Amino acid sequence: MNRRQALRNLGLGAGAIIIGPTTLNLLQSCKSDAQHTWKPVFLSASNGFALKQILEVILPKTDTPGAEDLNIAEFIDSYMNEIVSEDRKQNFNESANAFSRAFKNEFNKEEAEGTAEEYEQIVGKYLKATPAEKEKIVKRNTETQDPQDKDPGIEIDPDAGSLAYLQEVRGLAIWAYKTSEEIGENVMWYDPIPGEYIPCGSIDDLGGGKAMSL
Amino acid sequence: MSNFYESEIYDAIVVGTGISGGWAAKELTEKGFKTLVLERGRMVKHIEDYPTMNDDPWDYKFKGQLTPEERARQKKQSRTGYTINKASAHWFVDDIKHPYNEEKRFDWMRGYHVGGRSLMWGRQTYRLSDLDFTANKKDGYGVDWPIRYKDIAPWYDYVESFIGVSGEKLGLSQLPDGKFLPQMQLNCVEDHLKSKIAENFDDGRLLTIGRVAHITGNKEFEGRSNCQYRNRCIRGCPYGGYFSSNSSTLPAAEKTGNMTLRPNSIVSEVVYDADKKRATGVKVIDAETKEEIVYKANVIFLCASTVASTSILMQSKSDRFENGLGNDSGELGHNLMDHHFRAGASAKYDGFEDKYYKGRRPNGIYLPRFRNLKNNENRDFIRGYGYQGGAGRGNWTEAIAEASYGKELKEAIVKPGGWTMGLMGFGETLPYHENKMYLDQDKKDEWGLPTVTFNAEFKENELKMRKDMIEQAVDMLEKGGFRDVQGYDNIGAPGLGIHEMGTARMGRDPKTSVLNGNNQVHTVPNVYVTDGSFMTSAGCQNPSLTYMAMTARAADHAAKNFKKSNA
Repeated sequence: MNRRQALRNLGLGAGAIIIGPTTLNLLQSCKSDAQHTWKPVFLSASNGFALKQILEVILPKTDTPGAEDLNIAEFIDSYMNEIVSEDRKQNFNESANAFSRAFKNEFNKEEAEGTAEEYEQIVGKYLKATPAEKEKIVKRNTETQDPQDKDPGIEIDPDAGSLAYLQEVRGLAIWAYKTSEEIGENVMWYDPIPGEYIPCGSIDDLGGGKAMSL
Repeated sequence: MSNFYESEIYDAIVVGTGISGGWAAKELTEKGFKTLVLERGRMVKHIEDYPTMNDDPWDYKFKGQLTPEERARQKKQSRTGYTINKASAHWFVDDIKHPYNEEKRFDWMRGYHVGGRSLMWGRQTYRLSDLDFTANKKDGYGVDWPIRYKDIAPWYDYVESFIGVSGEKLGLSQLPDGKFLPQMQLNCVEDHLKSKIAENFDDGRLLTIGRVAHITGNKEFEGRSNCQYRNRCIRGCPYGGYFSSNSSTLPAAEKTGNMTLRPNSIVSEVVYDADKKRATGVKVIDAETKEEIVYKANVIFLCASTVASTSILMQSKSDRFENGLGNDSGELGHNLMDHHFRAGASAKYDGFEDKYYKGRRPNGIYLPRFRNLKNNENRDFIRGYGYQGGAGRGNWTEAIAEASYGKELKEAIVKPGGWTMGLMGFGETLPYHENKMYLDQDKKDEWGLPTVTFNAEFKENELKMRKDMIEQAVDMLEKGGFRDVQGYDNIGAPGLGIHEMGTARMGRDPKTSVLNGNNQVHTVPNVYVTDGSFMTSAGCQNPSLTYMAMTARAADHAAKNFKKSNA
């Protein structure tokens, strides 16, 4: 093992300590309570609960931290509150509400009452749909809404809204995950000062199979 | 308002501290000229004043994105799409504090601080050739350059040796070789395309690594060290790995003891003495106190950037020069050029899946001009273009199909994605008289100075050239075995190349140009203008190296023709 490899392993080890088993258990034990008591700054409380459940499906805790450990729901909620345009705020809110209606249609209960299994099922329904199915879902919305004359009184189609919502949440979650300190420094290949350029080396030798985080 | 007159008479005044101003300051002070260097913006000290140089995305609450309130102050500066974020927004002006007007859209990207755009420049460094210096004469657009390659070649040598340029020697007449440091390397996919182009084309086109103002190899540069492959250049480099005024020319000028650097100094006009037929100094408005001060000097170098230097000349009105200093020709503000780019193709490559690279190379590939090198090509456009671009391994978007969520997604997104490659043309824009900037005397800024209005557009020759840029990029990628080859044309507007040029052009005839072949105002020989405004034609190469070489050459001319006060 060369010096650089040793340093890299040390880096990964240091990261593992931060999310050691004791910490993970602690986080798990209070998780469901935390999800119910969280007061989002942008989303409604029930949409906030749903967001946390959705993120648990998209980025679950495995041998690396998941969405809950990295506060990704809180990040997305305040990102919507502080950063995005008014249009995007409104669209995000409307599609979150569409998801809420789709959840009720699917399970005949409120999203705030949903179980982890139900969330797994409904996220899969939309995100695992084939490209043809997704196209059909998107089309459903354009048939009921004239984009030139958007009537605020008309609610967007629950299926089309849910697909849009889940795709946006997924994209934001991946971005937030990869640019978090924990993942960026300890899971991906963190190399702030490469000092050299190796143009064409073995992917396993260079970053241990990981992508550069910066 | 009564003016305060500084009693000291300087040997020289340099207006601006960017790529050109830094060079003028270095050369004049090293030749013993007591030089006052004026900068309209704030002080920026090398390293000390690069607040974001080591930041990671997670050091910012929203990974570097700005709030709507912050974005609203830099709407025009945001048009590049990559400069206005927490890491680099502080190098770009506040559009509300520094407004300009657009009869036609023009993207005027700039920073008001010591070092100017030398801190945020793209660092691509190419020589012009006689193909460029004779182009206007051959096809009749614009006026003939008063110089040829042999006049500037030794000055290219001189500035390259000081700034450090890494690159590959190719022996091409249209893109002369320079004094190069060891070249950076092509990655696997770029190297693959290079050999496929060599196999498939016999019209002289070839792919090389970009020539870039970064230090590589073993040569020593005072106060600077080698590029560390962080690719955080736009934030200011703590290693001095790339050339900037702050890391290189201004410290050299400082070391002579002959430089007085005055930030927060907005030059409103050049003061002209009709009896002596010379400029005697400049009028400055202190950006903070708004106090007016007149500084005197024997020689004046305007290096404020193309649009700003032209504005200063336009504002310098007198009985002799009713339309602005040196504007007998009426060409001042006209012939505004930029490069047109963002036309080309991108594609994916299947292969080299087990290969990756280490380091974030702050440089890409270059494919030198191969069109209209000879007179008999009979194309539907004149002049030419080069390509910049590169290959890299993509990110999680590649992984969508296999892993939409869960454990599989988490594993996929931390691995390198598939290879993608892009080729983007950078083309020459012709010098059209009607492409112009002028001053709006009714809309003043907070210092009471008129604002700039732009009226410029790309025309038929540029549009036809872009079709070829796209077709050839697609063809090369297809012949290289790439898949999903997509041509694109995203023309934007002039200015976006951040290569404004031509509004005080050089020429042989005072009736049709503002400057002579030594960068002197034809009729006011102690005023030199050495930023992009002197460019008689644009070439298709990134122009900064030419500004530096011409500035050093002009300073040498000034030193030989104007006396120091103590001499």
